[in-house]
Amino acid sequence: MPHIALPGNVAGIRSAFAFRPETARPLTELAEVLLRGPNSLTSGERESIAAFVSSLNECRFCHASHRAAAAHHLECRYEVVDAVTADYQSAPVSPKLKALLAIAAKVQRSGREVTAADVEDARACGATDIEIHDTVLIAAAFCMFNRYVDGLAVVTPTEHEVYHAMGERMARQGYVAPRA
Amino acid sequence: MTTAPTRPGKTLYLPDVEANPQPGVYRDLIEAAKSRSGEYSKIWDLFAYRQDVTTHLARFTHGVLRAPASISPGLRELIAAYTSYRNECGFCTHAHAATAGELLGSEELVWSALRDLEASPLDEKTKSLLRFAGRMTNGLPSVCAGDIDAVRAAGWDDEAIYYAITTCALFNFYNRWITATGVPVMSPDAHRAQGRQLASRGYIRD
Repeated sequence: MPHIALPGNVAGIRSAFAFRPETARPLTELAEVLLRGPNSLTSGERESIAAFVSSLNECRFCHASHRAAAAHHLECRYEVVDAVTADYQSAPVSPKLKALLAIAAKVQRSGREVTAADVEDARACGATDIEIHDTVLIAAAFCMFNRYVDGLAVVTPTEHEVYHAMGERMARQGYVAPRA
Repeated sequence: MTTAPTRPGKTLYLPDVEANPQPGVYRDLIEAAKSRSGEYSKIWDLFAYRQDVTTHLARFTHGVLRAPASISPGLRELIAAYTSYRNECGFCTHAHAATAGELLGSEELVWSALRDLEASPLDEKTKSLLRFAGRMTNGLPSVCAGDIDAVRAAGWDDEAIYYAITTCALFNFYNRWITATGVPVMSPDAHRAQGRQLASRGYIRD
């Protein structure tokens, strides 16, 4: 049950956007450039970071939706993004992504926890400064999105099929394209 | 990276950020400040580095903190400062304490609230909102309807609650980005000058 009177004809974060659309509009553009804009990190990698941070924040809506988006970028291999969430050190992903996920985990707790050693570990695995910076940006952004969603208590669907379809739209059409 | 909250005069932790500003208003601001040999707000280095991202971020920030609403911009800046203080982000705390002080008419009142909310002379209605920001910042998975009930009982409506939540959420983003990249605290005078700018002009530069 939402904490304020959000528009009832949409679920999830869209209901929060719909409460004050002019204020919220730049958020969709922010999500689009962060997760689907040109980047040496793939969208699959970036959506995995988003799903990972959302699971650490225990935000069910953001975790489920970005888990599905990540899977759609990874040929529907939910098992990969689930392995990242459960134990990224043993997940079937690159050492570079593991080092970036370590940084994302620290950002989720506090920006002050990221150390020079974490940055060096990521560089040693081939991460560039912009990839490290963008990992911090995405992890920090999901610490915002998760609080926005759970602070407002948006209606959170429970069915896998709903998120599977949502994830496909997020992966294929992105965050700014109007809903059909 | 260190755990110290203040690093005046230091460069950012990722050298590539400072070395590669994208063309645009933030790069121009940085160059103008350097030509005056003045200190400048090193958040501009972050804004210049990823201008394709920060153009949307600046518009969002302006809307969240300045859109007409049943909660004043000054109180929203106070929520930003309080959230930043709870997240131990020196730069953001000083920046938004200065802006809140400018808008609310007393920097001393702002700092009294940051250092000891319950003992501060703020009214109970405002204290209820800041307590909620503290819960959203440090107690996230357990935030519940009871937290909202307390704010509503103090007299805040849905619109005010929406902007309070969004402001607190936004600063949980900024605080992490700023501290992880090493944006240093400036001198008190520089923060006051920036506070006057932000109070009068807001956040959109381009």
